[in-house]
Amino acid sequence: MTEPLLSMRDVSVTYHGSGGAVPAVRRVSLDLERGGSLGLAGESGCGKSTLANSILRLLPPDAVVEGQIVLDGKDVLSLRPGGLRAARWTAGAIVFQGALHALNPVQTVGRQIAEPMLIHGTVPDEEAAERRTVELLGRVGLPAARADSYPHQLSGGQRQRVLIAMALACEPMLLIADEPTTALDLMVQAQVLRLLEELKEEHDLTLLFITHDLSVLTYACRDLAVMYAGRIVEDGPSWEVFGGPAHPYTKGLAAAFPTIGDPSSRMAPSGLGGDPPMPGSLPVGCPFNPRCPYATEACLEAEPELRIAGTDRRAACILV
Amino acid sequence: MHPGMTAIVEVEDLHVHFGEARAVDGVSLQVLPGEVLALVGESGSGKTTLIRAIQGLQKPTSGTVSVEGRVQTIFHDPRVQMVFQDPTGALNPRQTIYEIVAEGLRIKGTGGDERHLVADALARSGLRPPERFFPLYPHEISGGQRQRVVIAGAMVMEPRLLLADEPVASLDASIRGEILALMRRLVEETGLAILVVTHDLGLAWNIADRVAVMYLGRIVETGLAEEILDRPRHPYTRALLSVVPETREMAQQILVGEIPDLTRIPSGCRFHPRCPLLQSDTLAPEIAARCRGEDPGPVPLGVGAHAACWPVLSGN
Amino acid sequence: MTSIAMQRRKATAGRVWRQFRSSRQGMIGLSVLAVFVIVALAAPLLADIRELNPVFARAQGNPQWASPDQFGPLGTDYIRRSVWAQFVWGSRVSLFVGLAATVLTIFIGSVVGIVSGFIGGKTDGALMRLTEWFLVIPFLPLAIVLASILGRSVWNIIFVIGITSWPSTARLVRAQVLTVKQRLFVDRARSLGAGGGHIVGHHILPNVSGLILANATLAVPISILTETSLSFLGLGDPGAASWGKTLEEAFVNGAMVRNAWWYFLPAGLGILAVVLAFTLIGRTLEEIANPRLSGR
Repeated sequence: MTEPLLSMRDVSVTYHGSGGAVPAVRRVSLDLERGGSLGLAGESGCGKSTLANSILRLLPPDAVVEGQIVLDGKDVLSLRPGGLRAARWTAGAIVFQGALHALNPVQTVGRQIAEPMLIHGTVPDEEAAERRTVELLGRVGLPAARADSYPHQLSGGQRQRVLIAMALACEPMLLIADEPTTALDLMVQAQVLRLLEELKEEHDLTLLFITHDLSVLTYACRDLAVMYAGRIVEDGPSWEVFGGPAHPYTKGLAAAFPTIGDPSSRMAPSGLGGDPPMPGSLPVGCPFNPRCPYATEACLEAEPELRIAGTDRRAACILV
Repeated sequence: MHPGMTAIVEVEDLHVHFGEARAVDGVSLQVLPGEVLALVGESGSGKTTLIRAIQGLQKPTSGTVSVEGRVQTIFHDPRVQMVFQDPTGALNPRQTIYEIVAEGLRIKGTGGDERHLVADALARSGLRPPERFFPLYPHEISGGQRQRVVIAGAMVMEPRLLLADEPVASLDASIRGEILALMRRLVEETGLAILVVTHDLGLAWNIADRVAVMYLGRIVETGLAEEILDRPRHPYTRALLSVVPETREMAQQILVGEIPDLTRIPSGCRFHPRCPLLQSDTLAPEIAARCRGEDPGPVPLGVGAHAACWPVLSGN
Repeated sequence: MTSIAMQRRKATAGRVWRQFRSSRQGMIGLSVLAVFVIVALAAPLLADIRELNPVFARAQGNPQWASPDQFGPLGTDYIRRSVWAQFVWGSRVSLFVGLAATVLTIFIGSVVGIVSGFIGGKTDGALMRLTEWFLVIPFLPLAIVLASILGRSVWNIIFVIGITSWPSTARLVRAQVLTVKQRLFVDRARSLGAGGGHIVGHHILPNVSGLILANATLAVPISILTETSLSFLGLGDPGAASWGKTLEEAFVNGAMVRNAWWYFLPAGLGILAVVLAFTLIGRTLEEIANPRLSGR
């Protein structure tokens, strides 16, 4: 087995804000192989975006990261600023959520795509940067003329394509997509997903995909990791996890995305009671126990570790 | 579904134009007591304008909206209540939950035991014990609870129709099912009708009796939820369904481009420039010509199944 | 039922007070202001009002242009009046004019801002043109003209300040109303059948009141300074011994040339301190109402 492109070992991220220490990510370990695709699922506040941002160290200064993150053989947490900047563009690149806010409203999108290339010196001059911009726009399915547009002149889907083009500018090996389709319409979402899929094939990209929409992840990624209260509670091959969840939380989450045509979900919406816990005040024992329909006395005692739940599958539940 | 039953809401040949833009361009629909109708469409389909017109917040250019047989002329009708997409924004941060739920009663000025009515509405919306929520402010409860407060504030008015605009889109996925189950239960318990606007076809499968699909200011297909979601006939509905990740295996038909501008509605069938059926060249030439040149017309008033598509209408 | 709401309101007020107390600038401002309010309220106990009358001063045998070490505590002026008495009684007039003019300013500004922002359309256009008209007229000439037409009295000064300084409040309130009006809870109230009055009273006002309050505390110093300017230019109430009037008389009668610092310094420092106090309080309230401002 070759060395994975991304390897995280016991990564914890704690925010030290005015309200005391808030653990956002707690002892997460995961591997992502070259050319693989991993979907990180979970609800708001579960720590999925924090985890993704920690890979390129894009966290606010009050966040403390512990553990080990190895990206393309480099220890990210010990990189100096110079090496970090290089890693941010060449090893991994991130596609942010909220396509409107991530773009500068007073600059043409062509300029914004060209900028990182000029900064990082991956192109010799302005002219080359322009050629490359046009090429990148073409690759994400936008006409070259769009380079002269301002963000507000583009539709939501087009803006998302621009963000992807920006992320691709320095030929990264890992593409981190944080809720890239959330605000988009169904058809546009499908277009963007198809685009990501094609890019992944063509450029041998490794994809880390983050969203609350389990069904999108299942469609777009080979593997799936479900996060709850800062930890991975279940992981494994997408279709197996989505089709036969082992952890009660994954079950509840999967039920929120009913299979159309499946008589068992017709007129029977199902979900979990209660709300996700606040990272600052986690329940005692298994953090899921207050919402878990199967909780027993034992679940109040200790937080279960991930255990084997089938071939290539793990789940953090004592019932497994 | 039952002939002779009075519809709660009847929209007849409704047009709402903003200058050149035809946001609603000839829509007719009925919602019967005790049913959930899902209005499905992408942004730019005109669905938001349509529900604003039903609510009385938007003046129609032509056509009528009537509630229980009476044409909506007044600005507001207490029998029609709203559930919003973003419960956090829908609640005034400076009002307590009690004041929020009691607000409608105070505006309507009906007598009765206000405290009892508020408690009852909160309890029916799943906030128990209701007294515990009375003094709280919106920021002190969770997102799911906020949406329940919005629903309680609507239910306290004893509405006949609930208009729900993407009621779970801004909520965490695991809470979604609970809110949908609450809406379904209210329909069954009170005989209320719900018109739910959504782009989420899974939601329609979960709670809707009927589905109406909207494209560029018109309903293009309508029918029972099982028919529409299991055996869609209009090519737009088919394409939409094919890209829902939750659908069981179905060949994906990703349409090219985005919904055209409402100021430039194509002539002929408004869907024809993007229609995969027309592009597939399998249609008989005379039908294809109709698609390009002749408007298949709006879906007629009623609850029957209909697809505004020439190949379907000509039995192809 | 409203009792629950009342309790919650009290709790909110308590929270605002706790936040205010933890702010050093706010507490400094409040302490300084408290001193002046006490001085103004206790004026009859601190100085004999007859000391303001030159006839009384002469009868008392006060010296002329006496420095503080010759005549306590703050010396006398060119017509033998006690400067201390002028300072104490002047604080009353200055604070009163400042507060009353602010009430008028905020009232006109808020009404215009809310009506303009909430109703919108042609009303908005007309009111905003009017606001701009008042805004571009040079303030001082207008105030001088108004003051000379209306005559020199405390109430006219208040009226002149109120009528000339509301436009900036109106614009600020209007901008805030426009933002609040877009909020979804206003739509919700509408869909419950609420009319304009209800929406303004229950939704718009509570959400702009913090801004209005903060704006008011910042308008007080401007009103006090305006009163001072008008008095200094000789347009003040001849019968009211405000700080501005003290400054004017000191200037006109050559206190600077005589180096009679005790004559103009107390009033000058009083104005400075009160203006600063209100500004500090206003900024603190603004920061509490809008937490994003703090730390900048």
